[in-house]
Amino acid sequence: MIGFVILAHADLHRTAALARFLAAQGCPVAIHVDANTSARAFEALKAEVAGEPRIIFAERHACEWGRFSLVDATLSGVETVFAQWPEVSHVTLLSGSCLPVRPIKALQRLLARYPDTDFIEAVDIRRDGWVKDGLSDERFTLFHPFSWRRQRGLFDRAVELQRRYKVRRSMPDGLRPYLGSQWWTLSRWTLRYILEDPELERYKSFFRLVWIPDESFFQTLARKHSRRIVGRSLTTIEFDPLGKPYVFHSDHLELLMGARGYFARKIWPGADHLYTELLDPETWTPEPPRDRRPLQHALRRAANIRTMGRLGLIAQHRFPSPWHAEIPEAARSYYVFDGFDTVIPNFAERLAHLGAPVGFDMHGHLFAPDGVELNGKVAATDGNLTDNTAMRDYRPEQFLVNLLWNRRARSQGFQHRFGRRTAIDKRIQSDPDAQIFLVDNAWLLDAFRQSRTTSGQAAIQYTLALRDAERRGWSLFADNVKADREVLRIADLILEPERAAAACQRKLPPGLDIRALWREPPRLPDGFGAFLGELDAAGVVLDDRDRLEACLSLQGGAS
Amino acid sequence: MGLERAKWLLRARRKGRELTPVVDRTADIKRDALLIFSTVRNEHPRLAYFLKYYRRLGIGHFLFVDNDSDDGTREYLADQADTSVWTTSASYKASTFGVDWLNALKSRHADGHWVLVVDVDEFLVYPHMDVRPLGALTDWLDANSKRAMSAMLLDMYSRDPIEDVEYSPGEDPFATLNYFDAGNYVFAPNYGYDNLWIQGGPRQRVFMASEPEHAPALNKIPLVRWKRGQVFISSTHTILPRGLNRVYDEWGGERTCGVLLHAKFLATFAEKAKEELERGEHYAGSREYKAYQNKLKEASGLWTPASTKYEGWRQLEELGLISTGGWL
Repeated sequence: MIGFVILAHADLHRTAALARFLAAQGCPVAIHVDANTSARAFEALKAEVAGEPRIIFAERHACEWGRFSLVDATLSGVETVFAQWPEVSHVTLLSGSCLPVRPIKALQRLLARYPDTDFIEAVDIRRDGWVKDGLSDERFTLFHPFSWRRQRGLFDRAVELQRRYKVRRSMPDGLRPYLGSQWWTLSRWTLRYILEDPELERYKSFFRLVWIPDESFFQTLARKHSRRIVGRSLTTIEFDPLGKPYVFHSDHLELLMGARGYFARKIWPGADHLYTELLDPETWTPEPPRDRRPLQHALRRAANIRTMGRLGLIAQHRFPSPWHAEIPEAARSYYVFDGFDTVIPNFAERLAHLGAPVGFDMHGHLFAPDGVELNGKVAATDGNLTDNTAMRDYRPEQFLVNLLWNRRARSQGFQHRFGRRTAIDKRIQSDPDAQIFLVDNAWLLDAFRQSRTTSGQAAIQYTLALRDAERRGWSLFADNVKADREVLRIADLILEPERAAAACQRKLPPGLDIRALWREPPRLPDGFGAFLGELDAAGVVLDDRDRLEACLSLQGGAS
Repeated sequence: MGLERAKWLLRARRKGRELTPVVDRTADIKRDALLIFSTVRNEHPRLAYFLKYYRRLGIGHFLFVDNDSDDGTREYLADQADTSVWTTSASYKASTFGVDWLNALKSRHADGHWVLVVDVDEFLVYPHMDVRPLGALTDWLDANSKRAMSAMLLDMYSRDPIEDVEYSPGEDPFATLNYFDAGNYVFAPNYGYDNLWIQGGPRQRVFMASEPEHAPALNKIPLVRWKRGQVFISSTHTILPRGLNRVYDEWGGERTCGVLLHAKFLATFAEKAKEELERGEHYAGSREYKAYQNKLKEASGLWTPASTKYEGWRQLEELGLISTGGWL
């Protein structure tokens, strides 16, 4: 027969429901109600369980978190159970905010199969870490006469002083300290040995000055007396990344019914649905199937959200500081094309067309000084990000971050001309999530087009200025380029289109066949040869001059 | 205590003297009750739904400052069983747009309570709200030692032109105001006070597109566990001591937060904008209202094909506008 001890201090109508459920399954229950709880609440609880002979009350102690009073309360509960029902074979310790997550029959089966076993988490702290936050070894080696909750200053000062003067308490003879969850199931054998241990009074006086003894008293003494220990609690408690126990709500019913243990805590006192369902015998007949995955999945997701968050999101709740990460990770990699449109006619439109069916959005020049060329030439895209230049330029980096986040289901590419807009250039170049494709000397074609409208010296001047701007655009951030760059030349696109396309292909999302853009080999514009001649005459030295000549002759000297 | 905070506390005490009690039921406030503090002026049509919405979330008591209403607002509020009402005809602007009055009331009645400070056109949406009352949320914040929660303003609008969006008392305003901007918000840390300055949404997009820097601030910290000595200093955008403004995560993680659905863009808006402009009782010379006046003539609506239809908190969480912050 399994007996229960319930430690309760608030929301006693919930305790009453739990106790009545256990009693109805044939289990005796001793409830310990904190002596600090009002007489009115206590009387109401008594009235609620009146007439149920399997529910009795233990002698009340005034309990305080972290102190020995909780052990006193537990001991008095266990003694009450044994005094009334000597035939009890195991005692399970529960709190007022626990609920069963498996049928009591299943627990009975388990304990019948392992009658000599104690289920108690009891970790050797000298060997394994258990404490997430706060004192570990020093719970035992220092004196803790002060309340951590009420006398924090004194508590801390006492610890400090004892450390300074190297105070070191030693354990009573024959004991090694063990720590673990407060909630356990112990066999009558082990509990009897603990209660009748001739040294019990000495142990108690030692643990009176241990910090949080409810996590060590029974754990340590069980290790001394138990015949066999399974080192985990039958009460599931799930902790958040900060080490605080999660509280379960009505919508967690399905998750809880797949939980690992036989009981779960903590249940939110207002979770009506959980109390009704989990304390309804019908829920457990027949035994429902169990699936642990939904709970595990929910726990993993909650921890991820809290600690890592969703990559690429900036929001009221997540704003990674530049002090911690220069550029926070983007929602996904993005693709920036510089100069291709000077060589390949309608480059962006054609790439957008190719990309549409394979999850790739190709925008025009997102950061052009005089406009925002959104994919499909729309005025506003997902999230109502608009083509208004003033709004884009207000916080251009966040315009980019928002675009990538809003459309994170698809890859994003856009055209850009480095060297004209310093702030966003720097951002893109130092972003490891950016993949840049650059036609290195595309500025030459810009210069050529400009030379059609001016003439002579002015055209030369303009060309040189463009070249300098281009160089400056990169050299400013040369130390800090973290984006991956695929650098091509005009001549590469014309003389070796296959290879150029393949080089880009490797770095683009799979399925996007960029080679289609080269099917018609690109041509240099008419008059370009003459333009090069003018530059030669003016003494401008160009990289790759020979290959440009080769392009021209490939076109059959059409220029 | 910082000098600035002391100044605001003194100011609250002084401005508190402008308030005359209409009905004071604060003795009924239970120890753990969640409280709402709000300033109202001629909001009669909105009150029924406002009270209904927040009662359902579990608000225990409403504390109102009535700024000289003449449409029955004061009488309606005083008639409710769970309200306390004060009235004043003093200047809204001179009371820092109501902030001082509410600070004064909070100093007297809010100590130890979770308080929600909202206007009657602001409706809190938070994770799990379909199944968990507000008390579950504040318990979670308590358990995590969080004393304040962010809920930015989310301006809601209809597909129809603003002047066609009629509203009758008691109706859910979001039955018609069911669109919003999902992803055009911009953020800047405000180093002096540690809060985030948020702008964007339809008001920036339509009314302030050519001067986006002047778009109204959307960041709000309306839910706070109140302790005597705390003060809001600018709407609920900023609170002192400034540690309370740290409602976001800087290391990449997410924090639990909600939004305030903003039911501003109803047919009454144009009228209200005109009236407010004449009173001149709003922030920065009522610049916002001037822009509305001008723009409303050209653009009749806020909706675009890229607007998002509202579906509930899960959708906002999916979009990243709010976060469970790891609240299981």
